Amino acid sequence: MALPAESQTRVPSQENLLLDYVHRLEKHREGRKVVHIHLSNLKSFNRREQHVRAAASTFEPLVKELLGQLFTLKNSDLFFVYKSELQHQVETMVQKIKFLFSDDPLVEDESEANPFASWFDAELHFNDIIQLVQGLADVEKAKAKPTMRARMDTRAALKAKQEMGEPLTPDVLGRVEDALSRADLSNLVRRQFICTLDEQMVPEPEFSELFISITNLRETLIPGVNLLANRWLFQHLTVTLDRRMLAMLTKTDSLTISGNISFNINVATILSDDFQNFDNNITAARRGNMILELQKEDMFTDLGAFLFAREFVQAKGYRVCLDGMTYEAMEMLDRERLGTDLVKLIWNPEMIDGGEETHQQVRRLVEHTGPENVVLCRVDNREAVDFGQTVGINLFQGRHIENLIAEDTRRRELLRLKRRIERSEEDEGFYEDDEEMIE
Amino acid sequence: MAENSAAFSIIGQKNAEEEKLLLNHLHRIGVNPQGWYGVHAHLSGLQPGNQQPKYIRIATQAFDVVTNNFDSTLYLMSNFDMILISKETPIESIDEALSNVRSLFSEDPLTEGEEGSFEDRFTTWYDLSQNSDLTALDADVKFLSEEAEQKRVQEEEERTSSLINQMDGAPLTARNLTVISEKLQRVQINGLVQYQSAIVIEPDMKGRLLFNEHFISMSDLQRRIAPDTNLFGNPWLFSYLTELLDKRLLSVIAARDFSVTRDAVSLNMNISTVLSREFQTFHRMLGENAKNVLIELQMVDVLSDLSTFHYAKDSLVDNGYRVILDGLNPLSLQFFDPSKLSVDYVKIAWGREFKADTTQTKVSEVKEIVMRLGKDQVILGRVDSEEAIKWALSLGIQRFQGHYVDTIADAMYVKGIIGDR
Repeated sequence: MALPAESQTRVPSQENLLLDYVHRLEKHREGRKVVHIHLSNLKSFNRREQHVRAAASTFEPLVKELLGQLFTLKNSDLFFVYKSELQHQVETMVQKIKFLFSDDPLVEDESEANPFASWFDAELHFNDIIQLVQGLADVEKAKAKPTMRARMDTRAALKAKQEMGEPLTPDVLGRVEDALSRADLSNLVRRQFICTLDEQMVPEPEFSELFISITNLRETLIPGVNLLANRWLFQHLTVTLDRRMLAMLTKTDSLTISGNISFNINVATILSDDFQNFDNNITAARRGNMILELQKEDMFTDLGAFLFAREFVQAKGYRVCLDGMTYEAMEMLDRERLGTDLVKLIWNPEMIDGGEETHQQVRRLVEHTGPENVVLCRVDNREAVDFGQTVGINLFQGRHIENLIAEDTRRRELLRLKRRIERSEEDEGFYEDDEEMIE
Repeated sequence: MAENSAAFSIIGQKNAEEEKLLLNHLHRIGVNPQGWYGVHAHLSGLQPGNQQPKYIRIATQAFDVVTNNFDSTLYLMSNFDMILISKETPIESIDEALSNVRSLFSEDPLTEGEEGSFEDRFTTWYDLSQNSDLTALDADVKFLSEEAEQKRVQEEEERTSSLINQMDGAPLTARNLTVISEKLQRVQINGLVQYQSAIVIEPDMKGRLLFNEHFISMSDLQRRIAPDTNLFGNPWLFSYLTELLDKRLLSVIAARDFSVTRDAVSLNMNISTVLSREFQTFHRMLGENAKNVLIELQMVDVLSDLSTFHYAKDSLVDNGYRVILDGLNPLSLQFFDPSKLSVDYVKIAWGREFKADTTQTKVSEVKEIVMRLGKDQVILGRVDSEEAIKWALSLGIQRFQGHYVDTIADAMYVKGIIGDR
């Protein structure tokens, strides 16, 4: 299945992440200090997003060097944990931030009862810290409003129609299928990498997922139609997309594929002649590089067929990934029993907002599934990666990872450029010397 | 292999061609049987759900390595049994092929007995250089050949018989779906609504009605609006049709006078329907009587979007409805734990897997799940025999539905235990 519409972005909430971090700090509190900067007490006109961002960026050099960890809370407070030898540097930085808000009463009338920043020694004041952080997390949890879920009420339907087009009907579906069977879809194929990340957040690709972009498909092929409006009709459409993808993968000239790849497929497609043809046309060695991604609802539509198909493809050397999982679904479905090699867990900020209990739950599920078998997907911000890492996940996929890859590529290119410039400068120097000599 | 290449081009063909070819082959072997042997894989013993041409075709590929590299020929019988005839072929390579076939059907009771063990019902080996073995296999194949011929004749008769309602015909496609869904919006639905009772058997063996499930008879509907199309052939397009049917059913049920009906009613609905305007209308007309209505949601529907399920379930419960999780069977229970969904009832379809011939571990797993759910939450559906009820009662399950239960419910109705429906 192609990736459905992008998940909604939300204001990052770090309270629970901080709580989690502080819990882990317990073992390493020696030589650590904490400063809590009370930006929440600033006047509201001083507490705009850009102000808080500017304040937070002060700590960036230390964060980049991995010398400290910064948390920006929902109420704008900053929480910075650092190594004690940096005390002097951190004090200077806090002073800098204070200077940013020098016209605010918080700074002008600073008192012991109402400080700009509170300082803690993790070794001596650990209990104070944990109480404070727990309090902040509790407040945030109480404030969290229940999220609005997708409801097919008239307003939502109208809005969807305006934004996405007319809903897909059987009639249109027929036309779409015809169009799909003729169209060249190779320019709609998108690729996203599934990566491990090192401590510097440099991504290392493990495999890449190939999928057909539904948004682009809609725009180029059938403008004005919302392909996702009816779940069952869309699901049916994916069977057609499967076939086209298999055809493209068979013709290596239409898609350049390197490395390990994964792609979506329905159980019914695996049992069809199209897959037989595909399988006959690829080398045995290539099968070991391929991961077939199956949706949980497809598996359970005919469990017998799934079990048969899984056994069939795994015996041939393919790997199988259970796609579209939420942490709640992971609680109900066992990867090991289903016999899939990998599981894709969809990132959802609710996992953070659920508090310590949910963190423990997700950590336990990851542990049970085997951390090396879990991919956190639809990762669209840093928060997702941070959360994933705290619960033991090593593999990530999503827009944020694509950005990291782009960043890394840029960095490498700059480095190369820099080297080239250095080299040419050296060479130029040489020439100049030479010329002088000739003169 | 010359004979091999043309083999099983048409899977499930019942004219016993392969049987005849095999008998010929055995006859030729009889002239000089030295070094020949045969293996009979009894795939006809698979569960009916696993006896599908597409599975069998894939399973035959497991023997490709053997038939391509050695003097071996595979014959596929009309009943899906496979017979491999080999000469001077390493046994290990055949073992490997057989083990691959076994693992394809690893959830099937047929493959449970260990290879070569006393309980192994999967394969029979024949040393064809022994006259007794050759005769035995020859007799077996003759039997299969006759059986196939009989079956062919019988099916021919059935096909011509107008009494048999067969769910076959052209598959449902996006093309014919348009016409069918338009007809579906117009067809008179009242006459197609049927019901089936679910009952509770109390510890003193007295029965009481739990609810009457109202549904639209699909076979009648198919006859009415799409006699040449198999509505069940495509699961996703069929689900789309059920969304349309939900709304029609709601309008029929809402028109009923609930004030005179004391018995509870259950309705199978898509989650999308529960969140639709039609359901709101239904709810307005129902008013206080929502407490007498149970909504059945399908497991696949639930699984595909858990957060929408929770939203729908919560709003149903808040409005007085009870919720049933439907679409489970012994197989799916081995992979899916519904106890965390907190619904009022979970309906599990009775199946052969519950019967005594399966391994004890699987039965005890099901017991464990029933315990976790709470035995009062389980409804055993598709109950077709007294055996099923006895088995379930031994686990503490007291809620039943199915053809066998219909007869009990009828008796209860006659005795006045159940009111009008």
